[in-house]
Amino acid sequence: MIRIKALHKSYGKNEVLKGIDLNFERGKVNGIVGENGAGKTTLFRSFAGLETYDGTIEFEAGLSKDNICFLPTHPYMLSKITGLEYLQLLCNARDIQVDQIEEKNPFDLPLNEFAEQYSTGMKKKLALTAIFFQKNEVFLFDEPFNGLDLQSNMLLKDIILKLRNLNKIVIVSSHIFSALGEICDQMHHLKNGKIIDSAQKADFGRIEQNMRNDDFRKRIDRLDLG
Amino acid sequence: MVFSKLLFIKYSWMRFIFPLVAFFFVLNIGSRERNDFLKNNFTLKNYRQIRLVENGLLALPFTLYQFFEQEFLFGFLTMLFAMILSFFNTKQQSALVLPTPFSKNPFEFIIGFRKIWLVFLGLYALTFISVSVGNFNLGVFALFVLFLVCMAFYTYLEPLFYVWVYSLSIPDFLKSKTTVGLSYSFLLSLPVFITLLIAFSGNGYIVLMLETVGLCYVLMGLVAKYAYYPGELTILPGIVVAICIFAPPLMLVTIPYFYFKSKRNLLLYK
Repeated sequence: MIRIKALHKSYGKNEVLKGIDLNFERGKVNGIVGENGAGKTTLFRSFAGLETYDGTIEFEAGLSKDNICFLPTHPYMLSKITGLEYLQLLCNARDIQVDQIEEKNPFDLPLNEFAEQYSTGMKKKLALTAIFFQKNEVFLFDEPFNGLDLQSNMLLKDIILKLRNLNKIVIVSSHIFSALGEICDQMHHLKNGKIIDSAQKADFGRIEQNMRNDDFRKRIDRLDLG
Repeated sequence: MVFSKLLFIKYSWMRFIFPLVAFFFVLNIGSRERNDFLKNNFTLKNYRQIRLVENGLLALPFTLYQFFEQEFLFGFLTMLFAMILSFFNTKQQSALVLPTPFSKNPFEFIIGFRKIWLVFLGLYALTFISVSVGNFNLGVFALFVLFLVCMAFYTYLEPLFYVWVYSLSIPDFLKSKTTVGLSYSFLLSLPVFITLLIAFSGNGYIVLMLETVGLCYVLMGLVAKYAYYPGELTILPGIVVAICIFAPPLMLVTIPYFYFKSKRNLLLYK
């Protein structure tokens, strides 16, 4: 179990997270939905320890930052490093020995080519592969479905469900509601730096309705598409 | 202008260098990504005009100065090639993966080596020349430059994620980086080091001393980087590092100083 209490994060006078309280249990997939700029990435980066913050994040015994893996929205690939070397680097970082990496390549990536030259989707697949090799306990996926092809999307959903069955803590963010609806057990709606609603699977429709009610029609009319 | 004049007076081959400098600037704005953006947002006619004007403006000062020097042919060719280059994009990064002995710990050395492997080839060649002409100082220079290049690998600042991801404690993180840095620097210097030891055995103690000092340079580069990470080395520590290069005994103070500063600094990110 991980408890986030009164998490605040500001950049100068801009308060991005305004007191987040959340609990994440083992064996559950938790979704964070919200429009662009709602604070999802900041929440994830704070959670991972990549940002300083006010408030507390309590980990259950035996868990720490070293058990967390984090998939950024846009994984940064170092130049002149091949896919295989990227995997080696991230395994070294966690002191993980992986034999025959090339054979355990779930997305069939061209591992001997420079990762920097991969397409957006391939970079994401490579970052995901490294995360799966690291054998972590807590998985933070920030917009994991963006840029992935249909088949990889389906594969990733199955992997996430398997992680849930392995009693891991999985937290996934997306601004695409439908992507999360299928895999999450709990969903939290983040808006303007606050959690405005949380729901179990049976009530996901309520969050979706809240998101839709956000004066969609007026916005379309303002575009004057003719 | 005065500087250019002096260069032209002193070096006759400047007439070749000027067009090359112009092409460097022109090629710099020829990336596919940049030009695709222009192509997407302007009509084809406007896009062509923009690129011709951009390349023309960049080449113009070089062409005019060459006309001033009465190098009419080179001036005309500079402008002509700049115009022609507006129809092409600069080649993307090479996809050739150069094999290296650094893949077990892929990071600073694999990136650095693949970027400037020709420099190492040049330094090895310089060592060979130093032996063949019996010039020990030339070999010493090659070894000195080699360590400065290895030290420069640590000027690259990786995104925070690549520090955060390590599960090692800060001392262990620095220890692991040090082990890799020193062993890979030693590996790269080995051909020069061994050659100089054998060819100039009478000066073996100087070679040994330089090898030790060189490895200390690398260590200083490493700890200085993490002392100020994720920022760059500021002016004052930069000057301190530069002084240490020419007064190596000072490293006995600066390396421990940067090490303890790194330990404190990395607390924020690990």
